[in-house]
Amino acid sequence: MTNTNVGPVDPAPDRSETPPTLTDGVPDSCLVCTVGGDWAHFRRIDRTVTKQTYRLPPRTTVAGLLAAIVGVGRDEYYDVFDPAVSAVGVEVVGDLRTTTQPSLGVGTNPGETFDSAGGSGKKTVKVRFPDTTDNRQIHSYEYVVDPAYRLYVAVEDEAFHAALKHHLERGTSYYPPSLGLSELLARVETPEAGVEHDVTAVAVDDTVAVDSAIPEAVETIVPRAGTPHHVERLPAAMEADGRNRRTTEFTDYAFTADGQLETTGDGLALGDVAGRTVAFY
Amino acid sequence: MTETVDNRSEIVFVTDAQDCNPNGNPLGENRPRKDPITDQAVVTDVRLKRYLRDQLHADGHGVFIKKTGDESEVRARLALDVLGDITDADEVAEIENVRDEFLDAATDVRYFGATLSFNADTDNDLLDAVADAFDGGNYTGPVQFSPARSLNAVEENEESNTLTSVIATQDDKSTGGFDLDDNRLKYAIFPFHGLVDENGASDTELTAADVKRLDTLCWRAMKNQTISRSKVGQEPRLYARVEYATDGYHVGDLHNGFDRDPDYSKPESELRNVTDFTLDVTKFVDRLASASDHVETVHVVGDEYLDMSYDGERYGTAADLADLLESQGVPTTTIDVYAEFEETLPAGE
Repeated sequence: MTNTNVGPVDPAPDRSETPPTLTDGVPDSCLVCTVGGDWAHFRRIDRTVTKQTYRLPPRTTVAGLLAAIVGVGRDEYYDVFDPAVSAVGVEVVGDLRTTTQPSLGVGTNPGETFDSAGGSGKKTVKVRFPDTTDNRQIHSYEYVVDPAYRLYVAVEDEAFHAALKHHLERGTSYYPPSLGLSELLARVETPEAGVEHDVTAVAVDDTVAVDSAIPEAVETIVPRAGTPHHVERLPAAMEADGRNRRTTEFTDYAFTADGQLETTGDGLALGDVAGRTVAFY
Repeated sequence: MTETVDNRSEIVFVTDAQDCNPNGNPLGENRPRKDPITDQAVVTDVRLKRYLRDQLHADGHGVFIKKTGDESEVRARLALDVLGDITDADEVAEIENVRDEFLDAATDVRYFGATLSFNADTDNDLLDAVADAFDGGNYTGPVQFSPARSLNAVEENEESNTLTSVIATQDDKSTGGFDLDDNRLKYAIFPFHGLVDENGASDTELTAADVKRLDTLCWRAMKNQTISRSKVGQEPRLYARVEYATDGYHVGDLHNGFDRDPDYSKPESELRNVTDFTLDVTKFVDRLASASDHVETVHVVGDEYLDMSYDGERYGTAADLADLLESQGVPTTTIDVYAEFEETLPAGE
């Protein structure tokens, strides 16, 4: 077994770091980085034949990407990113345009294009694999073109926090991060002012302009003439489920590539990070 | 089995396509793939990996993801067949032998990963043992290439969009087809971006020798496997594998260090041939120079027909990139593809 929890969570074991503390969902500090690339594909879970993409990376995808940087295996990081002990803000800084590219892949329908080897499967092992000499299946993949997202991340888990900060400061990663699919390689950039920033809770009197995507959007967004925004319902939390995993929470996010969105702030965890207003979730 | 690879590598592989269709869109009349907004041509990672797999196959390596219709003997499958003889979870060592033989025989799985599935009964110790030994059957490839977008906006050859075939397209017909689609790009140049994940490498037993093989494989695949009617006209122009010394470090986005140099290239609409194009490598060289403390060696091979410029000046051809990198303090070795590739062929064959 090599693919679960293989990485040392903390690449500098002597390093002592104070992780952030959350109060009403707002952390007292957070780590900031920007992830971008040529393409991204965050597959919408409610589509099958055409692989459509969310325009904003779901919180669960952000968690996976950061876990790759830290070197935590699949299924080993869901507790760290439980919304009760972590906060994530996502700001769109790239394009949100999408394009579709079909691809011919080996068949994934076991009833039609699979081959098998081994025993009968009753008391012995039967292994099934794509018959790669058979005709390929066409899958249409929708990609976000030139995506880039600034991430504001706070996890109360000390080891994860220290390791993530260490990697971001050194410009290293345990597993190379990617944007939704392993071949869509990502670049990670950090602010010149440093990766760790204080967060000050933002109180709202009337409405407030927010720089990041806004969760719980349907209730709180204040539409403004001339400012287009998207709303997507995204997976927000997940848990291990045997050899698979399942989504346990969804939320609606409002976001735009055109600057700030206005919100009533009702129920939102808003924080000021170096002069930018971020909605944490 | 040999030790898996230790160092991370980042690869840029510049190829071009003249009067051909480097990657047709099956949902768009097989026209060359394009970004409809920018008119950049696109070649998917899937297309590139097909060339690499075909070259591995031609070199005598076992390949798991084969060509459509290929009926050749499947060494990878033979290894898996033995699983049926294992009836007890205690035979874990034997299961792991099968897994090792499978990965040993399936060279492309070591590079690019694969998906297997085992009978799904989670209460069965034997099946759990097998699934564990095979990492659940999902192998993420430690070698990843991103889809490439051309450095130039492209145009299609209007005059070549119909083709009359003299060969019958169906068994019971004696006349050939006509008005067949034949859409080709005039000229496109693509920077592919790839990465070798040294930590993911242990999942598929990717070895240092496998990584070394990429240095000649990519070049030869683009030369040798682009031989069908629509694919002729593609050439490898520049390959650089940056092998890093620092654990977990890579610059990222190295392919964005290449541009069309407008001072020494023809306008995009007049590009027809590699000699019309000059590759500006300034950003690529400068980024590597600023990260040279992290670089073990850059393994480079370049083509003498592709002109290169650095810092606003002509600097020889892509074949001179090694000299340029060295002059900027970046440790570099030149790959001699045809002197080196034979060492990477299967042993004893």
